[in-house]
Amino acid sequence: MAGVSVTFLLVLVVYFFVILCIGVFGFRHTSTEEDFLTAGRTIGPWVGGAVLAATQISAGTFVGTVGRHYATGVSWVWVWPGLWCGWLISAIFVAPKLREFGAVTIPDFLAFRFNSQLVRALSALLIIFGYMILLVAQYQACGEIFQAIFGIEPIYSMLLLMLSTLVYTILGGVRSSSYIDFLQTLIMISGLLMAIPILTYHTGGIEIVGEYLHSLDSRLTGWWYNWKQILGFSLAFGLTMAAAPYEMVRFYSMRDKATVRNAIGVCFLFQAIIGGAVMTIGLIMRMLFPNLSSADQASSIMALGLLPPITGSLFLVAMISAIMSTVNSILIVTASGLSHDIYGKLINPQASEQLKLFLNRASVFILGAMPVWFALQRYTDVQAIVVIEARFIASFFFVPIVMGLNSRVGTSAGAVSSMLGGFLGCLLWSIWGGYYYPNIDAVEVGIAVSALLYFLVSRFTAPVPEQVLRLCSANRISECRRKRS
Amino acid sequence: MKILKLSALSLFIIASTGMLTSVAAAEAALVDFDCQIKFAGRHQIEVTAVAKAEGLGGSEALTHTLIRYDGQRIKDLRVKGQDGRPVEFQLGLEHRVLRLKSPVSSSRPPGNPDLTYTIEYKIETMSDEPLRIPLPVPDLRARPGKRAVHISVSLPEGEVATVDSFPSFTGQGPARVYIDLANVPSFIRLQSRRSVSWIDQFIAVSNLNDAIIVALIIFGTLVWEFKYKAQAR
Repeated sequence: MAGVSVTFLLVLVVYFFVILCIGVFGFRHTSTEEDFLTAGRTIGPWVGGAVLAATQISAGTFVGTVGRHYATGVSWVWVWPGLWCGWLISAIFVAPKLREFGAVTIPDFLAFRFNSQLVRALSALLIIFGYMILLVAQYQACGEIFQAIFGIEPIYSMLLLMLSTLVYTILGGVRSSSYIDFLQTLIMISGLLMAIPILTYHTGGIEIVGEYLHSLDSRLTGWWYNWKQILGFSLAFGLTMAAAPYEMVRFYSMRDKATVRNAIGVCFLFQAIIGGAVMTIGLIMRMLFPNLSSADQASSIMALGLLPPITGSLFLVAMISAIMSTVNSILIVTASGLSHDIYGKLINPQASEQLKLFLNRASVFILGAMPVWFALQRYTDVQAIVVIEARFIASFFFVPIVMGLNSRVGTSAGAVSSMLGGFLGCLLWSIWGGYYYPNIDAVEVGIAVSALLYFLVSRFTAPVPEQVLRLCSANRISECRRKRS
Repeated sequence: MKILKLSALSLFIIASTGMLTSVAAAEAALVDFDCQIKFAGRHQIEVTAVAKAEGLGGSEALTHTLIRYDGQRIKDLRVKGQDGRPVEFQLGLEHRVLRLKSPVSSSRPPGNPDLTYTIEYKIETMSDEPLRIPLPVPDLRARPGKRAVHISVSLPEGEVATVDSFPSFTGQGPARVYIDLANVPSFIRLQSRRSVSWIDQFIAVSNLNDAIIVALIIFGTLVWEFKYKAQAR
């Protein structure tokens, strides 16, 4: 333990030094709000793909998904195809169009498309709501990791995470975080790939792992979840991914439409490797330690107790950096909701660039601190919190974003009712409906209500002016801005 | 705008607290697990595990699982209760898992919330190396953040453990290795030799892995740097 800890601390110090250097580099190259939020639109396909993977591969993956495979076996892996379908929808119907559109944030796009400032305000608030839940999962995962490593109370590790992430988010915005994400993805994949042969070496082979798990509980190698549950989880993750604001903000930072498509392909490759690896690790850990005190600690215990010192330390650093990467992306998106969409567009449109940049950084600080209390309550496991967040985001954003980008149908009132209806449908079904009809997932209800209201209300309310629709379908937001001004 | 902000905050609080299900309250837990492993010859190993649990019901049967590896035989299995007397048990056998079910908590004196019990057995093995020694994993979770599991192995005379054992033993005494863990592993994998030369230490799997991962990261960083400079040109 002592040897591993010293190595771990050394690796951690070196890693954070590198992060700090990249942060300072980003700070020196960030002079405007657009630079802060989109890195001047200069990111290429490989860095872009790694960034997308690193943004999506979060604590939910390293801690929560490994924990889920540990607790429930193989069947959780069927959630990945649903997630990839979401990426495909995004690659075809959402990401390139959104990048071409040239907006700075998702509420920017929605406000232009539906010609409404109410849509802007509502979408900004819903983004903040949804991603605060995801932040809770990230903080909780961080607490689990540090408790497994050092036995320290989760509050201290959460505060450490909050402060270190805030530093590099506030310093450099998207530019520095994109290059840090690339480094993190490299470490994650190397760590994961190294872990599997070592674990297999200890157990005596993958075949023995399968046989042992089958003997322990046959559901671990078969179907722990039924197909309806898998469908519900897949829909939640897939539809969220197709319209996830914190992933989309990464598209804005890429060079052009072609780069976005290539980056999604690269991201698929990274995800396939990571997805297969986390499943294998979860299963082998169940064999090695059949009754862990918390399934969410499986990956930390593996890194600490089973891997060689440097590999284990790098794996732990990769987990912590995955959390930091996601927290960073979420903070950029939620902070932009407050400062750019609500303050900059609605309260004080004449605000200077300096003031907006300052407000962005101040919002990052405030929103980064808020979820710590909720994380300390440990309401449920990390993956379950991620599922809840995914359900909400899909329920209120999938329909207006996908329809808004691909169809002329849809009015301002339709978009507002679709977002509100999706949110309330998901919320109420999660609280009451699921109790009576457990086979119907909240995301299915949320999406259905959202789509129904979108079409129904749009049918009977004033349409968006033809001129705006023409500009939007031509994907020329800059022209649209000029005409408006 | 204030109304909108307040509504968002209220919705966040209501939804978060209402939605997330609360974890179960206090449950039975493993407080201490002390396992001694001794070699009684090259192919015969004696395992003695003394466990302390809390929060168990009065007549609950406690289940332990043991992993079964090919070429091994578990014999002379005994369970002793709080008072040191043997307690009856049932054995269930599935392909790779041996289930030991015993109403061991009934041996506890009335009014005592804690239970200490012992499980002993011998393992006969046909193979030489690597040696995987199954441990009795209780159907109880240890309290998070505590290292309540202590494993100690007395090695065959004149032998030392290599660095590729599982778990990575942190302590080493004369003919003995030991480790403290937070959870009970299903087995220990022991690799021991008469002597371990510096070449053996150097080419150990763990060292090779460390070397490969460092090389991979350096290679990746160089490729990135090269690409970045090429783009800049």
